[in-house]
Amino acid sequence: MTLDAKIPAGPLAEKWSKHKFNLKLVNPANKRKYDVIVVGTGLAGGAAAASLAELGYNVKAFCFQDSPRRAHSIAAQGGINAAKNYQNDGDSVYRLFYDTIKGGDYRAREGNVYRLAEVSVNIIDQCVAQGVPFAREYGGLLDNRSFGGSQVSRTFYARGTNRAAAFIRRLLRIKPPDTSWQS
Amino acid sequence: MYTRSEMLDVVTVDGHAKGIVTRNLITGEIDTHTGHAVLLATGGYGNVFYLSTNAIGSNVTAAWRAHKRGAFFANPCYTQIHPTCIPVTGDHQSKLTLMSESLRNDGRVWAPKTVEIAEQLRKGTIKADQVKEDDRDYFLERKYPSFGNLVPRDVASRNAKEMVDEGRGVGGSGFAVFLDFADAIHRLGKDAVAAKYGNLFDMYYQITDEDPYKQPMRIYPAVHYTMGGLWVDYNLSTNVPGLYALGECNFSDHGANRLGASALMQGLADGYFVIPYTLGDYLAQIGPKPVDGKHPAFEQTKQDVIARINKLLALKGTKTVNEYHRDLGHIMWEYCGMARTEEGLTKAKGLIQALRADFWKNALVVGENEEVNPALEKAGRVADFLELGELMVDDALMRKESCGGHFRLESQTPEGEALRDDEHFAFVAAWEYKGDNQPEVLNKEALDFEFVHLTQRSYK
Repeated sequence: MTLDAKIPAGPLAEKWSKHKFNLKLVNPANKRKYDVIVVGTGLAGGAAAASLAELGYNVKAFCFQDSPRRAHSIAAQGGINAAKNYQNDGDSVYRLFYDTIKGGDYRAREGNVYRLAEVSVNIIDQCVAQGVPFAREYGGLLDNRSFGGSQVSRTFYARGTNRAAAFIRRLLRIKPPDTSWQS
Repeated sequence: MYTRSEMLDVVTVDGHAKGIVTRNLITGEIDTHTGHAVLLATGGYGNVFYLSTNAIGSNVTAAWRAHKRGAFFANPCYTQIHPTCIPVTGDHQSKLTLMSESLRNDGRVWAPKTVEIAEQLRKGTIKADQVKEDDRDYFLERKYPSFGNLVPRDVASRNAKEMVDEGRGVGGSGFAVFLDFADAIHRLGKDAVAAKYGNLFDMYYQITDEDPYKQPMRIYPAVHYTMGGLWVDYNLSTNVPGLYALGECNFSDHGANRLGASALMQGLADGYFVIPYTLGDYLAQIGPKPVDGKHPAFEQTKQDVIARINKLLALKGTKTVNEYHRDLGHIMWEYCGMARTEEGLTKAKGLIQALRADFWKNALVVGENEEVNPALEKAGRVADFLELGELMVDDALMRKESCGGHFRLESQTPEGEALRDDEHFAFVAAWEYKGDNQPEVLNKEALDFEFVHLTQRSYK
């Protein structure tokens, strides 16, 4: 069987924008007619459920834990990489892309990894807007630290014992519509 | 929101994912749920190794069930062994604890220069702070001067293992190296170090009863993350239309080794910024017609799930499921862990097959379905791990090169670094399920590099 990864053609930096434009849209009035099942409520599932519910889809979220907050993402200690270059130390979307491809020992797709680096900057804005308590420097700017496989400081993190629990807590403040209790 | 609901199968109708089957973990009730699309964000499969930094409950079942319904499983052998974890203390341990990689910003990794000093440290006749500066080998700084202690995880882990293999490991078991903050405390002061890493130091102290402000931490690599997972295209869609995989449960962005702080990045990118666009494209194409929950596929899949639960509950042997899990973990760690060989992997394949056959004969699953039954939950998960384990070994056997976290002893550079074979292995291995106890079929997706020049990775 041939596997088509459906990577859009064209220059690396334009692939995702072009692709987004070419994707079909669902009319806002029709969105509520769709049911979307999301299994897992860690950062990926939580972010998807919250985003899709905000768009208007009818989301059904599932987890095996007592509460979505018990998903294993809360144990993450490190932080989030993003090519913000706040430290002015030579970072860029391309460098994050390159570090990630190289770090993965050249066994990942260029198109996917570039997109990841590209949207990394939006993630931080999104988290800050939701109130994630990222560590800040004395002057109030977001702080960074370094992680393996890179020579720049691009990791955003939260201080104290809460770590990523803070992210999940903030993220899940936007809850998918819950109708199960009514029936 | 459905909590305490474990997904046990995907329902497909005419080849499209249209729902799931769940078990209510409180009442045992088996339910079907309909959806125009099914998104899996169910995490990684590191617990196949039994001991890992994953939560005890983390499992592969949702992804594996999807795999058995047709979704390809990609690069299962790519597992990340994290260099800085608290070392294993004994056989009764059920979980390992990670010490964040951020500690390598200021902590210096070292092992004693000689086996003799290491032996004294193991016996406890001397302590780490009594080892003279000249007798310490800061091996990461020595071998990788430009990245130093901040080399990627796979490289740091392999080097720690090398120290232990040479007999220079420390701690009671000898399976550890030091992560030392004395320099940082001297340079920045204890308060500054505490402000940065205080929570991690406290955690280490609570677990080991050793004060990392006074003596170096003992660390050793442990299973932490799995780069492999369900195969997805650029839209995060598996090869089953309507079935998507996000976050760690897909294989997509980290290649053969994930960099630190990239897991949260990928999970949030997938959930916030990719799927809201790509899912709409699929939904617009299939239209908003309600999904028919009365379709026979729902009842059929539900009956399959019930039959499997009954099969598990009928196991009234003598060995607990947990023991099988631990045995599997030992096999995986020994032969499919930090260093892999053709010989070891071949042996592991036989061992796993035998263990799986034994499981379905001699396992003990107590209790009933209609109650809170952790033994039953665990049995289902371990049964899936016993199948996944063999696929990981197959994948590792097939990939004769070394790359990232997958280190084949047969393929290394003269300096002992991972030696890739781009000519033969620059592809994604996507495995296709063909039925119980049938060999899985390998599908290859070629990796084309248009923009990045492939080179031997160097962190020197």
